[in-house]
Amino acid sequence: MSTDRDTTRAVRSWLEEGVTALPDRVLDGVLDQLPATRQRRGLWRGLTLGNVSARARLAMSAAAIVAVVLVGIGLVPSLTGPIRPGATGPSPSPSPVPTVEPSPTEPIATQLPPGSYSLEGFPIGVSFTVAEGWARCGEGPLEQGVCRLNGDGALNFLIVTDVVADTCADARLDPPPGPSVDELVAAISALPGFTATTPTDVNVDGFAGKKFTVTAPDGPCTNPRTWATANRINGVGPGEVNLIRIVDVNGTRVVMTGALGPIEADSPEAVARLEQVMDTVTFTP
Amino acid sequence: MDAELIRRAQRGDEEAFASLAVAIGDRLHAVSHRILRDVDVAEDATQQALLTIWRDLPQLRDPDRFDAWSYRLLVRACYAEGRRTRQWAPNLRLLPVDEPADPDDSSRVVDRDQLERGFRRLSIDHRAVVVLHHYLDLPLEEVADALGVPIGTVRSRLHYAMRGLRAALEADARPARQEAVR
Repeated sequence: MSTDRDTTRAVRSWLEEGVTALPDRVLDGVLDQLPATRQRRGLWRGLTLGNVSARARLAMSAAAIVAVVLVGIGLVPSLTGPIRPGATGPSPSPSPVPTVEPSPTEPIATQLPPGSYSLEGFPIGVSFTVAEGWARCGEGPLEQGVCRLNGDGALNFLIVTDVVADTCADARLDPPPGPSVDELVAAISALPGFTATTPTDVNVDGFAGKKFTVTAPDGPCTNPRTWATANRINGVGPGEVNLIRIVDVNGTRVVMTGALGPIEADSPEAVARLEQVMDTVTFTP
Repeated sequence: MDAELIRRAQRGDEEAFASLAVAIGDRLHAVSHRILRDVDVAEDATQQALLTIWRDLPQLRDPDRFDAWSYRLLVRACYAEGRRTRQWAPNLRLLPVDEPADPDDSSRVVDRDQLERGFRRLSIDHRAVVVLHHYLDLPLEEVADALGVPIGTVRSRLHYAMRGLRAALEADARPARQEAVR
């Protein structure tokens, strides 16, 4: 495989293989939902910006800005789930945040408007701020976070209790690492085949901890296992890079993992985007 | 695509939309499967995209732009489904069950395996450009239109993705070939 033309030919040939037909049950599922799925009517019919007055255009722009601001300060109904919008900072008179069930037809149901969020159901109160392009994601109450909509990064908050003994098998270390931040840092840094940077001190919202970066190997297994919560053993992609911060929050060890694919990890912008969110983290013990 | 069928579906004609869905369903599913590399997840993404097409169809101004518009909704659905499952799905290594008799067969199997691994390392953005351009044969201008990004971004993503796939083929070729024929 030596030329760009060879690569293109191989890729095109490879893409020709695989599924091409949509199963009937999937199509039936769509058609069954049509009567219950109301169509959205466009505002464009009979109204274009070319035939409205400058004042009306200004009013429309102002309305759009107000809508954006309302979303930003959390007055517009938000997604339900483990992440609650607008929860950073004390509120003199807390009131329930209105919620709506995501419509089954919502195209990007997990997308988050820019703003501050807190995790719900996580053992420690965690708040952080995201800009455009993030969605909520997680694997359960002990590992929650946000992911980039286009797949170029994810930030997770976990309560890690153990690491794996063998990165190619679902076997935990026995006995598990001790309860301190340093002991968990050492155990993660020693994952077989992984490379880790030297840990340095970090302070998150007044709580001390360590930060370092681990990079997964490109083999021998294609889904190397890493650390584990009480519920689940985590796996990563080959070459995946994780920017890790481990903080002791009044005796509870909170692990923050900023995950990047091997290509995204070379992008200073992708790294900065993750660190930017990590830098906004605050805890409520 | 039949413009009259699209207009009828825009007005809420479910029968017209059913015909439309039958006409485009296979193509959308083939694309989502190639982007997501998982049959179940791709089915969910295709179903989601079809429902979104139905819901938002009245907002499509020009029926001639239906194809590009539907691909954009499909790629968005792929983002969402990809996110709902895992950041980076496990890579399953594909090896031949029987030792291939023909060395050319062996190298083709290995190439597919390396391409699969290399492709899974790409973000959904990069995968979408590769699939729309190299599978659907869309010119780069139409890929840009479908994804709603500048053509320069499409060129850059394609270059980046193909460089990654080429690197995967070159870096892994020798040891993987030895493994595959062992």
